[in-house]
Amino acid sequence: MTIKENKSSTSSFFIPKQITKCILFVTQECNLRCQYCYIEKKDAKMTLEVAQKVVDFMFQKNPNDGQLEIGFFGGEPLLEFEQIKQIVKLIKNHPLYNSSKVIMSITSNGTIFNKEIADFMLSNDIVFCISCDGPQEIQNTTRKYKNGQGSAMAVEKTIQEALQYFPLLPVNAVYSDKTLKYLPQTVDYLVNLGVKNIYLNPDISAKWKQEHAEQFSEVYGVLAEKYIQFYLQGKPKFISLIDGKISIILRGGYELFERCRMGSGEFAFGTTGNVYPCERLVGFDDGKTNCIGNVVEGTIMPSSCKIVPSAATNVECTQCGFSEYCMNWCGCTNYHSTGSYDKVSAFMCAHERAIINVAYQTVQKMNEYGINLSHHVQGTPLVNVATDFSKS
Amino acid sequence: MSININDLEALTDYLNYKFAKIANGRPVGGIPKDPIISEKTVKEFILKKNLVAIPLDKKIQYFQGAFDAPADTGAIVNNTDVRSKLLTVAEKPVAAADSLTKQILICGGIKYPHLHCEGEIYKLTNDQWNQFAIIALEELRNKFAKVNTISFDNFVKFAEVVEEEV
Repeated sequence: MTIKENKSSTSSFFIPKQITKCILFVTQECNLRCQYCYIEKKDAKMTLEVAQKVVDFMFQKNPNDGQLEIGFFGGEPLLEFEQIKQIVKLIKNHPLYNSSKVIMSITSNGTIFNKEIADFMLSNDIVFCISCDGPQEIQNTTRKYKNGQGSAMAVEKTIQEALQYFPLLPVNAVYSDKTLKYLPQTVDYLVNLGVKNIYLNPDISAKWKQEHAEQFSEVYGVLAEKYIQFYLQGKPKFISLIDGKISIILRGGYELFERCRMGSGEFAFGTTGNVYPCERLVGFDDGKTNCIGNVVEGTIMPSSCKIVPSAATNVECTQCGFSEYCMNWCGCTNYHSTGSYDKVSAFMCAHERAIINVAYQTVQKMNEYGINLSHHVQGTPLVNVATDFSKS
Repeated sequence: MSININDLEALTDYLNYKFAKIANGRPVGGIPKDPIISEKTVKEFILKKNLVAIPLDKKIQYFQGAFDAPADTGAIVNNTDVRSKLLTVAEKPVAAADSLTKQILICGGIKYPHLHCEGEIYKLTNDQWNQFAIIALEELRNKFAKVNTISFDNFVKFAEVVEEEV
């Protein structure tokens, strides 16, 4: 199968009646040039007219007053802070807006931050997320400014300041084939800064090879040891790789609506209103590749959108004992690594096998230590961190 | 419970069954559903230990407790009236809470061991939870015995083909 044949490679067995997650590209410009970024940079901003159409679409497609996650993304969204303020007004002034149901977030590279931004996010209940790949030697290599200068100092300062406003600040670190072995140092670095909510994500477009696959278990195992130690010290941390998989293991596998809902329950909107099934598929936003409509033109996907991966179609996956615990359904990860929404790469297979095994062993060890993980069954392991926060 | 995703009718029934138990087709707090694979195990355990479901009024108390004493927090509900009461409670200001904290608290997160089964919540002791975890892990070990691998060799060939055609 080639990249050109991916359109109907998955079945649309379940189209949810309402959407739950929308990502708005307020700008496609960025002040950084990260090595692995899947978004092409260009001078394009979302106008208020386009934003209004997007907001109307979101609420119109969410008629049952269900939970709606709205993310501001880019490019670097805080380059357009003034525009974000206006769009938030549009959202909150919408007749169907319900503060208890809408969760807004801003994902930033951490180079732009001040008290005004923090106050705005606090007063509007906006979750703030920062991307940081780790200590200076990693961050300055992978996440540079346009002029080639490293961003480490600026981002570190932002994390420290932001933690004063957002004690549970989520920080997202991307690791690649070149930085995999430094993951434990990245966790140490973030924890020393005071971060309690750590998301670790592999660079899905990296040149992963067998030699890296063989390192996954060892590196993830070191992370798991740290994770356990944090618990034993009475200061548990949320580490997405470990916590997420423990939850899935204890709950008996992913449920259907936990899986990728790209193009049915989740959408990303480009600056001109182009609609994509996932923010990781916007690319250059040319209105062609992966595009499923335009919200301004009202040409949105109805029956054409068949992009609803539910599980991988690889023969190896359908017969695998890990299949219910594996993220083989992540359409954008599959697309970036194999060119097809439902074909899993060798990297994904090796990564998932390693982390599932490590999480399984972690549960066993913690059971032996008498550490209770029952809250993971509920799917909200973050509450550990919340409790820790409440004591501090 | 295992579902054949190609069987649309069975799938619809399953989803209706699941969603009927939660307000407006979405979870009010956390993920109030039972582990799909271990549902039988959960039921057997509840029966074996003679566990009694937490009454509805207690659930509200537990949720309110989330704001007074975060160490014993959260509630999962599947009743619309109770849900609206809970959301009213959730609007109360939480000390030093940013939106993420608020979201976590709204999403529940009962800090004591418990199981979900058929829309109800069953409280466990630490010992009972550890016993359950051992059973669940044993069940998992059997599943994990059948693990496949996608070979990097084949993948490299595939990636080369894609690069050539793109």
